[in-house]
Amino acid sequence: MHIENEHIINYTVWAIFALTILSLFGIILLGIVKIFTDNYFSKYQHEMQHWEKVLEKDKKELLTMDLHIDNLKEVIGFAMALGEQEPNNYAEYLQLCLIIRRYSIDTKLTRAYKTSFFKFRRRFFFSLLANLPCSRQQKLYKNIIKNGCTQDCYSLTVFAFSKSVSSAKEAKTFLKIVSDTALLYSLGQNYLKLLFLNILKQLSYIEQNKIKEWLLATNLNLLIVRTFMEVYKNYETAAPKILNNPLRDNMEINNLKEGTFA
Amino acid sequence: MISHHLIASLLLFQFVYLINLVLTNITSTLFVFYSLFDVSKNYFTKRTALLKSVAKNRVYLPVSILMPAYNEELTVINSAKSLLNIDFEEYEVIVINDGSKDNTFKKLQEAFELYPVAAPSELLLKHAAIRQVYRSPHYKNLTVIDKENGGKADALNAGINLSRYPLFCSIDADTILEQDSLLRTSLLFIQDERVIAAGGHIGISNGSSFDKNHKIHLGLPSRFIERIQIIEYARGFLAGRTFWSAINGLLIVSGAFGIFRKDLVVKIGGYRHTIGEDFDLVIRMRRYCYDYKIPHKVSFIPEIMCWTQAPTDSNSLFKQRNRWQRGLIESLFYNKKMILNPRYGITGLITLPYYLFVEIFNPLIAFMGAISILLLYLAGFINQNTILLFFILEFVWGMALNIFALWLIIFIRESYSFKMILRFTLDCMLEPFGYKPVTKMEQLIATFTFLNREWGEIQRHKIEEAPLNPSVSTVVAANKASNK
Repeated sequence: MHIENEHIINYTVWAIFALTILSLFGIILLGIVKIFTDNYFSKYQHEMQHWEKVLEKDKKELLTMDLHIDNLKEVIGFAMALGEQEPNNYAEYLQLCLIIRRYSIDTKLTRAYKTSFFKFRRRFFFSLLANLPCSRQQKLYKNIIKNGCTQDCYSLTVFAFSKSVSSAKEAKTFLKIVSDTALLYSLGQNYLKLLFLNILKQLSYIEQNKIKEWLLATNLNLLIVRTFMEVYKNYETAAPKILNNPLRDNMEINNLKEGTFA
Repeated sequence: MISHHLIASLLLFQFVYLINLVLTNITSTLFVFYSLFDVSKNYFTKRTALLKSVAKNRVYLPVSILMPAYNEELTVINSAKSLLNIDFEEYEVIVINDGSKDNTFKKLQEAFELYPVAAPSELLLKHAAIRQVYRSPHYKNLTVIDKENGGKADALNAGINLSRYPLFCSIDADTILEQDSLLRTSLLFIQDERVIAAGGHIGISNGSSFDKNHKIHLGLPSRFIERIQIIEYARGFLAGRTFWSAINGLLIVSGAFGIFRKDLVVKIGGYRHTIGEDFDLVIRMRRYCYDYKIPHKVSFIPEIMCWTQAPTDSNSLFKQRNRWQRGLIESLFYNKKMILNPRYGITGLITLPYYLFVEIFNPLIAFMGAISILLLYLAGFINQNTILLFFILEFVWGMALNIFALWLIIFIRESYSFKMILRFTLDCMLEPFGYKPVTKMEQLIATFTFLNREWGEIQRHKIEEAPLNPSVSTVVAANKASNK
């Protein structure tokens, strides 16, 4: 097996040589990229810490203050801080929702998501959006589900969607969409429970009842109905205080009157 | 006349070798690049809120952790304690002392003040006799089974029989889990009900130390043989498994850390006494699902989920590689009906043939190829250009692949210094010339001796807790005497 054709050797040598150079050069390049991305995240980490302190101290004031959260760094940092918040009751949850609405954090993140050129940036913005305690970006979520996506993307989208539900009407729409698509994406039953828990937390006692009655009368997927009923039953017994919290219902009514939420 | 035939055959074999070389390198390059893409994607999206919600709302699936231990007196206590401190609300730890000849059980008894309890009477899976089941007054979720020796598969079957939860996690006695590994892996089963088994990348803890909270302080192993295995794990396991998982063709969920659906494992009769029981289990699970038309998926998280010790000396390394290769051949042999059978989808048509041709035949082809090249060159049948071509394909491309694998490590590990990366780069360049041919040779030997079922023992080193100052990372090789 004599390889007389010098070109074969030349091409192979050059190809492998290029590959080796690329890999060595890649190490340096990747090191730089890693430093940049680490800086990128640490920059937001600092921003997040700043907003966490603000949220801790002046949560109420944030609703009346006139802050300018305009540039992307601030939006991301604030969104990260909001994502870390864990409301203990409905009043706290509602407060966070109002803050998000006041400073249009969800809208700004959606805009960044839509205009991002790189896919990884889009994923990053979307994960921030999904982490928010609530958002009003149902149109975006509906579009993602309608256009079809991977199982991974679907599960995150419905998770974000479930956190954005704030009325019986929206809950019905959500349940219809989940009923149509959950089985296609082989969504696990426990995950469905998580979604329904998210919904129940954000609805008043009257609305929860309304949804329950509606669900029993519809011909939605039986698994969805059964899972919802199971969650509803457990939720009712697990958290009666929050469910019957007068503060919660009063706040909600006041907000609805003022048109600040919904 | 005979020599003409011989030379013609050898020359023909060169083409086989050439094709094999190009194909294996191309697939490895594809694996590494795909994996790099996936790992970097993961780097940008950490779903903390989702994980928090799952944990807080108790919609996770509880997990039984099974840890078989055979002569693991040096590592068993540390591993068990690390398991009892992980960040997961509902789980149990079942340590199975598989008839150890050393003080494994005694150490467990002393450390956890075990007391005997009644063993279950109904058994789902067969295994060697249980001597006694124990519990600890300090840890309600700890169960220790003391049983007759029956091998790792047998011990795991005993653990499954005593487990209470719908998922079980099999881990090795020297494995230290990452804090959120159970939550993150069990989330895969919640998100997608097709998932039947899931695993993650295994980090090598050689050269590193753990603090009191079992958090790792990364260090660089001093020996080449340990460092190069870090690269090898990234190139071979992380890259390959990420790719196979993406096309739903993953067949290996490492025995060091893997979560499985218990109902399905019970249906297929549990673990089988084979050399590579983890590989065999996943193949049989997939086979069952295909036979009964159950939608299924085996998932992989391209991030370090746990830490394990890699062999520190060549003897242990050879034994380990020999065992892996024999396990692979044995599992393929038992499931030969699936190979190239369209009924078994991607598993039958792509993954199993890949393992057969690339993992099993490759060492044989490479060895014979190298010998024949030498013979033909000495006899003047091939020229220097041909030698150069093979050299470039075999060694230089191999070096490049190692460096690509290093990229992966940079992304999944966060605290390697520039000096460490430089050291790794040098190792990447040396690997194709010494380490790779030797391990390939061991694989070749294993191919010819796969009927030998002797379990290779790996010398374990005790992992000590890091000093209070975490900047000083040390690894303690306390068992030097036993090494000798």
